[in-house]
Amino acid sequence: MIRLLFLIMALGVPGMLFPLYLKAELKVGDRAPDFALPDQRGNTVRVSDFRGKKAIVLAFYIKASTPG
Amino acid sequence: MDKLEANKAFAAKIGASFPILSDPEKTTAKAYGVLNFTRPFANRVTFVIEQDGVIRHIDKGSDAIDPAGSCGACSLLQSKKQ
Repeated sequence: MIRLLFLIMALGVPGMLFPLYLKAELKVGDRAPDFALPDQRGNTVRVSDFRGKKAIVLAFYIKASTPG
Repeated sequence: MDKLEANKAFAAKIGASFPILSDPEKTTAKAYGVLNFTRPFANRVTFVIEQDGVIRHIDKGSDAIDPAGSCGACSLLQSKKQ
């Protein structure tokens, strides 16, 4: 029983957490998910702000002289 | 995924005129599927999003370090527009 519980813990918990990290990968042709994030001046930036006006280059760029 | 203060200092250091966004809750990194599974930050990925809100180009990993791919995609979008 303890072994079974351990197995459930070992497989079950990561199995439950996995989908939180692995969202379906976006592909070319997909609609970009909207967000509302603050920039360095404290202004809120949204994808929808640019719709019909400008194209966007959105770069996730880690450890660029910053902690994360 | 940095906090606003870290991005503010970085933007001042490099004199950035473009927005540097802060995503400390990682919600946008998750929504774009770029959150690293083993380490607490996002993978390097660049998305080029057309005016209609549709993703037209994606660079990942070492390709995302070199802006050439995204620049090329932007040029294509520009020529399409004209």
